[in-house]
Amino acid sequence: MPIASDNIGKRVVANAAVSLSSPFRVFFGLLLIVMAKDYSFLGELPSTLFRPHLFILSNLLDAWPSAAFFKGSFYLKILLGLFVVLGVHTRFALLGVGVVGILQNTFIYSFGKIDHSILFDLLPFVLFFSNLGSQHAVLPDKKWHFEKEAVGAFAFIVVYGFFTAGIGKALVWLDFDLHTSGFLSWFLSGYYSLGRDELLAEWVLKFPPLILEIMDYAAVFFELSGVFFLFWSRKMWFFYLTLICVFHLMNALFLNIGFAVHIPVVGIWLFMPYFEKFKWLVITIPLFFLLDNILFVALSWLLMSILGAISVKNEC
Amino acid sequence: MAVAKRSKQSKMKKNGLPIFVFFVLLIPFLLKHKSSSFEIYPSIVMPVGASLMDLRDSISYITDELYGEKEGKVQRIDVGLFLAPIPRWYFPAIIKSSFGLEPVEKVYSVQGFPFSMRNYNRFSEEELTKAKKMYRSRLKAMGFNDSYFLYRRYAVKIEGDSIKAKKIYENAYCL
Repeated sequence: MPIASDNIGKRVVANAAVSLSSPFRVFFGLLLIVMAKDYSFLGELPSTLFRPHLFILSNLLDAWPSAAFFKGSFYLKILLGLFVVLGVHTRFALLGVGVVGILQNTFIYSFGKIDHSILFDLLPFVLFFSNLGSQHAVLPDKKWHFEKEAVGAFAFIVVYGFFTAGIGKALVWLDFDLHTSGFLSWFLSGYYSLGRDELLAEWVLKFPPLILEIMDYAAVFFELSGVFFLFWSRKMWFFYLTLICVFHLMNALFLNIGFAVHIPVVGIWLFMPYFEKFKWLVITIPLFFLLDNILFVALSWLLMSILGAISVKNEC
Repeated sequence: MAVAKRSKQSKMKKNGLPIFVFFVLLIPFLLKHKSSSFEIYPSIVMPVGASLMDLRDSISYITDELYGEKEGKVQRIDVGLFLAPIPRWYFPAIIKSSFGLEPVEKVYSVQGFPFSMRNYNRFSEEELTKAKKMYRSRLKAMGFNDSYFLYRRYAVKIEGDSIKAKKIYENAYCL
């Protein structure tokens, strides 16, 4: 049922509401441990490769921090992940993980390229406002009443993030010309230069111009339209989450771009009903992240797409 | 009419915060749109990659490659292995920094403002020696002559089943 409210904020909060509980905390803590990265090699590199962008914290420095700094942040992240799993002052562990993660990224992006994992980077800060650590925890947190608002704000950030990707494409890709292709331009640079030639990548070279043009428009429509789905209704929000999964599945299959960090982002909404029923998923899903292979990422997105479709049905 | 105006004002009041947040979030996006060097981290901006390819006669694209000397012949260097553990996708950014083997600088100034901003690699003779030593040991470990490597840029054209590559740029980096 669409929620009749002319207050955008309330509408978003209601449409995106989800009740997060301790199984999600254990899942996310394990994921943090599995995904913790040791960047100590950066400390060994010459500073002649240190060229951060202008508006990034590392630009205040004149060299890579020491290897010990990166080693320390790696172990700190694992320790904080363990605190999240056990529920030891979960809120502050999440805050710590968020800050350490952003600091680590600040330096790995100092070659002069910023990657776009921002939705995942923000996730600990969103969960900070939740009550994940209030139950089944070693040192439980007090209950707060900001969870719905935080999840709603995060839903808005998700659609806004995709919007920023879509608006730039819309200005160039929507040219109503079958003799040009934006999708192919993206594909070829990865296929020939970065070795992204696995799964169904070869098929792309055989796509007729009409299909390529449709793919350009479909990507732009998907990236720009999230905000409407989020405002429309709860059911349509879950439909958009399913579209996100299908979009990433296509990217994994054809472009070999996995973007696995978006799995827990979408997982906030799609995993919860299953974590309550099938607790073993809490442990097995993070293990998938150890298998750094595009086939497994594609399979994960396929499963996520199915979960999305089921959740849309459940919202009917 | 007055009632309609009041209702519109009340709607604006209720939605003031989300609208304000939207405009604040737009700032990093607009800065990145102006230049990738202006991209803020952390900020809510996702990858655009809005280039376009002309499919009229043939498909063409640009590719960057590294070459070195192995067993007396110039052979292609596997960039992923050469850079590891630096992730492969930072290769284009490393090229822009001349592999850390030359000082690189881009100065940005805003018309009417008395200051400028520098995007530069932190270059010094001491660090240059460190960079050369690093590349030498990597080339040696891969079985290449460790005194130099070549950076080449190719324009590749695909016509039907044939793929033609034309070298459009080459730079030798002596170590």
